[in-house]
Amino acid sequence: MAYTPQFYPGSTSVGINRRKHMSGNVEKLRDIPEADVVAVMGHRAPGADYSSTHPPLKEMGEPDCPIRQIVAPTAGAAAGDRVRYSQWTDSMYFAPSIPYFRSYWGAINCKGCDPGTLSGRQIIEARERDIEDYTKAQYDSEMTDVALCSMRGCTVHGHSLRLEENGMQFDMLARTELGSDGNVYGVKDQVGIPLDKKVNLGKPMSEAEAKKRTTIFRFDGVPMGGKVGARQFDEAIEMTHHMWERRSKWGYRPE
Amino acid sequence: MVTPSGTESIQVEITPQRYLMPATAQKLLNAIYENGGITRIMIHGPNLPRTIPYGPGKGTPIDEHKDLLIEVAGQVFELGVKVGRVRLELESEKYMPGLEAACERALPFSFQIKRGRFFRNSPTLSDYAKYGDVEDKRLLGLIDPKARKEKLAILSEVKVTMEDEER
Amino acid sequence: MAVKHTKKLFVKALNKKFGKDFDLASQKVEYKRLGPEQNARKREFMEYAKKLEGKRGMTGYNPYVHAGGIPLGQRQLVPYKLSSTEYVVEGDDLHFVNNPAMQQFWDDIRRTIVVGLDMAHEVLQKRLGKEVTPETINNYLEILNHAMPGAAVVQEHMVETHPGLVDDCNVRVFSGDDALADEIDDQYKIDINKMFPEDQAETLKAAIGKTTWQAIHVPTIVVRTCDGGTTSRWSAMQLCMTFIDAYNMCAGEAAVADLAYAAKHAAVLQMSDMLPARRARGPNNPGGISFGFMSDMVQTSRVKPQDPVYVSLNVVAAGSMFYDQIWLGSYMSGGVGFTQYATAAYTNDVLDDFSYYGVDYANDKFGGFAKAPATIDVAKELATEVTLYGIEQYEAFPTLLEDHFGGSQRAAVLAAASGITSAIATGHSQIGLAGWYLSMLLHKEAWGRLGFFGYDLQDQCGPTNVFSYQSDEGNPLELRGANYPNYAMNVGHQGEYAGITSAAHAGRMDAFAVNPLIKVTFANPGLVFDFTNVRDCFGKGGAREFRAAGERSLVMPAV
Repeated sequence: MAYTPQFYPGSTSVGINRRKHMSGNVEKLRDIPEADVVAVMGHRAPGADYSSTHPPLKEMGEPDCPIRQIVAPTAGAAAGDRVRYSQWTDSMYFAPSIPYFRSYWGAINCKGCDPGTLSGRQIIEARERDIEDYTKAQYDSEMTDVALCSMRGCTVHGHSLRLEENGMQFDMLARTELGSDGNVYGVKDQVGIPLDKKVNLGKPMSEAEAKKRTTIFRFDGVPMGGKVGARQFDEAIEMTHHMWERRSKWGYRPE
Repeated sequence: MVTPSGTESIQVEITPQRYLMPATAQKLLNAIYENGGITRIMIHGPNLPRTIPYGPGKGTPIDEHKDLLIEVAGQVFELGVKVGRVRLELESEKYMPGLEAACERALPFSFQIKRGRFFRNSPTLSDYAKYGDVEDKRLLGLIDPKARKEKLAILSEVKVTMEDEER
Repeated sequence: MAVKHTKKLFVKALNKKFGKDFDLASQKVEYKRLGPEQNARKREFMEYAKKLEGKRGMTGYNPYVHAGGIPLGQRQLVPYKLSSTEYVVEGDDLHFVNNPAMQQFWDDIRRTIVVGLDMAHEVLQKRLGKEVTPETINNYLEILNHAMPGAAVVQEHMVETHPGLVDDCNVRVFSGDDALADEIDDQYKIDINKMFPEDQAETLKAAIGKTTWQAIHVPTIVVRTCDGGTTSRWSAMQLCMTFIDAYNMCAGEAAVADLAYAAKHAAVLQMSDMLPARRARGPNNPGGISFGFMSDMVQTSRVKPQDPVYVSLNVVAAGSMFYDQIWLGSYMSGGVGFTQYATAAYTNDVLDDFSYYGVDYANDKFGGFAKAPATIDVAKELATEVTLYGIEQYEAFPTLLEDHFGGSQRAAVLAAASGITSAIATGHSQIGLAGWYLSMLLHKEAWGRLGFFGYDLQDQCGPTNVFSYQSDEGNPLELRGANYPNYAMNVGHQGEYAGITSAAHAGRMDAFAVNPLIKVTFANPGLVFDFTNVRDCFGKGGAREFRAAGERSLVMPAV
């Protein structure tokens, strides 16, 4: 590129971490085995073949199209995989990730990725082998804390709830559990079907580390606007003001 | 809302900093009960279904939510929710200091206690549709409109002998 | 009847859960399960519950109260307190299908039509040479109040409605001309001077001028059987028959056509505009009701004008229930509906707290209501402050975050408070609207989340259309409605827009937002819903204290 993208403003840890998430320059914290990632995703048994919705592109013979010539298909598209998903729920109590920034990460760094953003969940859909790669990347990185983030394909309620006594985000389907050894184990897949064997996801971050790595502004962490009576605007607010004002004035075109 | 003489009943909500494990819930509820003066009491939190309610895994049992038995005031009942709030009606203001002390004793973290209006004494539409004209008005507001009978327990003030039943 | 081997399993389960704290061996407790028992009274309860089950189609509950015991309940849902009222009800009580007050709110609107009298009088005087005096008008109104509910006044052999089914039907006139109004029988008029504070009455009369209007409310049962499209036709029919009777016309003489045309079209004010084909419903249907009209229908502005926040919040309640629960939640979709998107805005005093905070802040800074300059900088400052405050409340009070568990609920509440504050502070609805949009954008940056998938479509492109009045680009907020292009699809916005509209005018202590005829019409004491106190009336409905009109039990066998 001719310039270095700035991605996001702000000099606090939140701004810095948001830039990390968007740029994809995130630290790797763990190495979840691929088979475990696949098991938790729940779309196919680890080791099983991929289902297809069409033959490999090379066999199909594609039409003469300049875009197809410029853009190389992803591995999943080339193979003809079906589109599958991973969906995350991030606790508002200092989870490292927040929904829009998971979506930005996907849109910026992952080819063939279709992100969807809500408040209680964030989903990425992609060709099956591609979404497996993207999911492992998220799982392994600092974008995920194993107590405060979880993969949930349904019954997602939990992001706005207080944490459990043991620091875990509430999960109505009890897909993960905190073991007595201090590790978090995945015991069910993302839709709640029990796994054949538990998956060791590693230890959760301490409260201090979560606060350090989080991308959420909070009054008891890094506030976006100071406090009542002592306002101090993060650059994120100035950016938003700028954007909103320009949008409003451009639509009006007073000149 | 509180009369100068403090003899009117008051309604209170206790919110601990975290959702409670069954053992902690038991400790808290027993401490509250020991303090006395309760007219009615309600525990609130997200549902703990026994099977997956919907999705590809619908109907699969959730073993983690089975047998969540706690014993309060000498009676055992099954928890159906993850306890996050306790709302109760106290006979009068005089039980408040004791209530706060009870929470301090039972909870290993901070909590908030709020006064408000949480219960009602006359049936709403859904109350009437569910119960008809109910004699004991204390029941109103204790249970979700759609809940089944397993979600209500009566704390007897009299200890009676144990009778087990095969479930 | 203890069964020994299960006792061990029971103990084992407890020990597994609670470890060494539990030693049941020495204790004697009763494990109460409210299952079928041998006691005759309990059996009676269960039989009764079964009876209810069949009739009401709902699973009955069978509580058994042990004398002297303290009942302990478990809940996953919290009940709702209607904001600024003492009513505590369940969510189910606020579903519009269950709540007769909410139904009557909508029934009262769709059974209403405003028809001018002056055009008809001109026809009578100029074309037919008949005299129109206060006496003839009073006579006309007496006959009309007999005819409008569905009684015959001209022809023989007519079948009629039963009075007991249609007693909510009434017609009252109002005028900006005090001299004429004084001559009208009290029972047939909406007395602007009595219903409104003095300054508002003067403004309304000046706006209405020396014209005379009929506030017509056809029977509730009619619009429930037919729909809002019936109202102007039913009304026009009875108006014409009454003119014929009262003014001794020949039934069906040519001039009747002029009267009919006036009554159906030329002198008519519908409650709502027509919608384009894909959303089309009959006239007087929810999709075409503008935010300005909704603000004018709600009557809180005439009973508590000194509290513009209170006024606006009643409009938010009315609008949220109406646009989210009934229009989008039923006409446009249906089924379970969107109750909880709306209840976030009118329960548990949350929006009240945020809005009063904002308006107090604005008053401190600018010295009172509608005193701040109507500039984008004011919207920026106020919406930022209110949004940040509201976000802090959600962070500081975990139960608040849990009560508004959905991002769309929080977004609607934060932005409504921001918009209402900005509108009251400046007295300008577009500034209020700009503040609403800024709140959405700031909220998204703070928490990295906003509402449901697509919730904020209108909020991302909204700012560009706030300040344009060109017909293909924008509109004053008063004239926007449920079908304004980007607003048409998503809940959690329309009711709040109505609230912001009303806030601007309440801040200015205006007598009306957009249409004085609507304002006066809904001051009619003959309406069944209490338009002065919306949340209270919804609460009454939920608490089983409200009698709606249109009841059919009179003509059906007893249960």
